[in-house]
Amino acid sequence: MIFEPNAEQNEIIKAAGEFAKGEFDPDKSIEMDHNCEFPGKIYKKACSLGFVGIHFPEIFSGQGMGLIDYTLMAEALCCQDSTMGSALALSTYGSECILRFGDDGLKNRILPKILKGKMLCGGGFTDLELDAGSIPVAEKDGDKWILNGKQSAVINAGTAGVYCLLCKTMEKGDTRESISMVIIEKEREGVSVSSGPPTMGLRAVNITDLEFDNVMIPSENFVSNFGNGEHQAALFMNESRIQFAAIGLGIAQGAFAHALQYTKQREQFGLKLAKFQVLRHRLADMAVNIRKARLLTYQAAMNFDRGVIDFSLSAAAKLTACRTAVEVSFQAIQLLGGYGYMSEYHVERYYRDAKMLEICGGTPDHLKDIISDVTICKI
Amino acid sequence: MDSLYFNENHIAFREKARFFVEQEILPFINSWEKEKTFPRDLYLKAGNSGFLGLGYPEAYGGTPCDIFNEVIFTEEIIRCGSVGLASSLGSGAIGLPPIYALGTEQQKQKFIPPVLRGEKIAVLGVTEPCGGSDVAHLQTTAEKKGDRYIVNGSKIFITSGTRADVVTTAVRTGGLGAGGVSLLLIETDTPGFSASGGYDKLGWHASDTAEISFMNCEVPVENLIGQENKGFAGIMVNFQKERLLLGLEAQTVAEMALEACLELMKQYPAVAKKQAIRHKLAEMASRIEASKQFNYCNAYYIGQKQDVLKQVCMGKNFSSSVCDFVVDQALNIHSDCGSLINPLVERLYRDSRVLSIGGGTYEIMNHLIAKLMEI
Repeated sequence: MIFEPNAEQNEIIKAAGEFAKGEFDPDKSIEMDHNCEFPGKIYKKACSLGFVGIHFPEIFSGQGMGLIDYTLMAEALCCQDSTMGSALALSTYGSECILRFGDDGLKNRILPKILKGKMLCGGGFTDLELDAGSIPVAEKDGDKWILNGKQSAVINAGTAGVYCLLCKTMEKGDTRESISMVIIEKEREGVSVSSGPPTMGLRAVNITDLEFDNVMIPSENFVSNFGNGEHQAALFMNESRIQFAAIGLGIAQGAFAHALQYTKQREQFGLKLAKFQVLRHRLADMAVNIRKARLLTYQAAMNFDRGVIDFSLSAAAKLTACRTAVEVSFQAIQLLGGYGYMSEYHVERYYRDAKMLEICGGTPDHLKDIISDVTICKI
Repeated sequence: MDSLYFNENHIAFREKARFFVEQEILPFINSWEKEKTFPRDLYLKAGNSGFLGLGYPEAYGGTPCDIFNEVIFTEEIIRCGSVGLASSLGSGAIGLPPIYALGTEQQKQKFIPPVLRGEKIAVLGVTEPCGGSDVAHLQTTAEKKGDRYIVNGSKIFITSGTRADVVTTAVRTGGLGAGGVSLLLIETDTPGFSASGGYDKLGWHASDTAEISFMNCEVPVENLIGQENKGFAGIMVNFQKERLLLGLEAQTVAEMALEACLELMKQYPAVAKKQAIRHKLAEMASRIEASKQFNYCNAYYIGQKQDVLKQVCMGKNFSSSVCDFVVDQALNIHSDCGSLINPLVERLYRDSRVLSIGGGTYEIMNHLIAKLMEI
C-alpha cells in the first residue's frame, strides 16, 4: 500500500507549509523555547484557518478529515519549525479521548471550544504497567467525586483549558479500585501546576506535573464507562503515537533542510561541505531514514483512518520517526559544527525537541514491548 | 583491584580534587548554569590549590606531577556536572602550552605564572567564522610594521573569551596555507581588541563562549611565539594532550550518566528487573570501561613522551561516541522510570554534544587517523 496524496491533501501540505513559512519567526521560536511560552497568537490563526483539529468532525468545528491529513499538516508545520510546529500539533492533545469515548453531552460541551481555538486541551497518561508512577484518586461523595493526587508529565500543563487524565475511582467505603478517564477543567478549585524545572525540549508545549487537592468533579466529567480508563487510554495512545510520529517526521525533515542548506554553502579546504563523500553519505543516510519514517507514519495514519487498530504499526511509526528525528538533528549539529551548537542556528533546538518527543508518550523500550507483544502473538 | 596507572599519591590527589569540587563547585553549579557564568575567583581558588599548574615546573609557579594527576583532575572537575565550567576553568590548559613549548623565557615568566595562580586567564584563539576544521586557511592577518604587528580579523567559539587577559592567537603573517601561520600573544587590553559573548547554545551554559575581533590591534613583536610562519607547530604541540583530555571528559560524562541510571534502579526495582534494561546498562558499562582503558593507556604513553597522536585521535572519537550513546540511553532509562525531567542527566546530554565537534571534529579525527595509518 503506497500513499499518494490526493488534490485536497496536496492543498493541505501547501497551505500548512505556507502558513508556517509566513507565521513562524525562527527568532521568536528561540525566545519561546527559552521562556517556555506557547505561541498563542499563531495558534489563534491556525485555528481560524482550520489547521487545529483538522481530524475532528465538522459538527464539532473540526475539518472532518482523517489522521493522515493531520499527519501531512503536522509534518509540514514541524518541518518549518520544530518548536512552533509541535506546539500547534499538540494543542488538542487528549481531546481525541472525548471524541472517541465521550458521550454527546461531553462532546458538545467541550470539543467546539477546543476546535474553535477558545482553549487548548491537555493530558497525561501514566503507563500503569510501569509501576513507576502514580495517578490521582477520585472518591465518590454523594453524586460528586473528589480528586486528590498528582499526574506527572501532563502535556499542555498550565496552558490548557481542560485536561484529560486517568484516575483511580472508588466508591466510599469500597476497597475495589477501578481506573477511569476524566475531564478536568483548569479553573476547578484545587487544580495546580507544579513549578518544577522545565523540560529539555518541546518547551513551547509545557510538559509538567499537575496536582489535585480536593478537586470536586461532577459525574458527567467522566469519559463514559467507569472502570474502562486503561483500555481507553491504550486506544488513545495508539492514536497519539501516530501524531508523535508525524511531528518527529517533520522535525527530522526540518533539521535535514538546515543541514543540507549549510553543507551546500559552507566551504572548507576549498570545497563545499556537500562535496565531501563522507558528508554526502551522512546526508544520504539521513534522507533514507526520513523516507523509512515517512512510509511507516503514513501507513499507520491510513490504517487508523480505515478503522484498523494496529498497536504494533503505530508503535513502529513512533519508534522510527522519533529516532530518526533524534539522529537527523544530531547529525545536523555535527554538519554545522560549532555553529550547530549555537541556538542561533536552530538545529540544537530541533535536537532537544526531538529527544523529548522520543521519550514522551512511550519510550523506545515501551514501544518495543508493544511491538513484540503483537508480533510474537501473531506467530 | 590494583591499578596499572594510579599509585597512592594519585589516590590522595583524587581525594583532594574531589573535595575541591564538592566544596567549591557542586553547591553552586545549578545557579551558575542558570546565570550562565561562574565567579572569577574560582580561578584563584583552583590556582591556590595548585590545580591550574599541574605539570608545570615550580619555577613558573606550577605543580610538578605526572600525566595521571592531570587525568585525575580532568575526571574530577567534570564531576561538577558541567562540562562548560570545567572547560572554561581549564582554558589555560589550551592557551598556555604553545608558550611553554616554544615561547621565550621572558614570555614564559610574564604570561605563565599569573595564569597558574588563577589571577589571569589565558585562552587559545584559533577557530574563525570561515574556518573551523580548515585551520590552515585562517584569515586573521598580522602585518609587521617596525617593532609591532598590526592584527585584523576575528575568532569564534573562544572558550573564556570575554574574560580572557591574553589570547594565544593564530594569525596569518605569511602566504596561504599552514606555512603562513604564526602564533601571537595578544593581551586583551590592547586597543582594537573586543570580545562579545552571552550566546545561547545547546549546553556549556556556565561557560563563556566568545566571538573576538581585532581591529588594527598593535602587538609588540616580542609577543610572537616561536618563529614567524611556524605557528602551526605551536598549535599542534598540544594536540595529543588536548584530545586525550576531551576523551577523558567524554568518558567521565558517560560514567556519571550511568551512575545516575544505577541510582535510579535502586528506587525502581521493578524496572531494574527488566532484561532489556539490564542488558542496556551492561552495554553502557562495557563501552565506558573500554573507553577508560583506552584513554588511560594513551595517557601512559603520552607520559612516556611517545607519539600516540593516532591512538589519541581514535580515543577521542571512541570516547565521544560512547558518551553520545550512553547519555542518549540514560535519558531513555530515566523516562522508563517515569522521570521525564532530570536536570543533571539532561545537562550531561546537552554538554557532551560538543565533544565530537570541539578540539577537532569526529570527521577531522578520522581524516588524521587515516593519514597516520599511511593509507
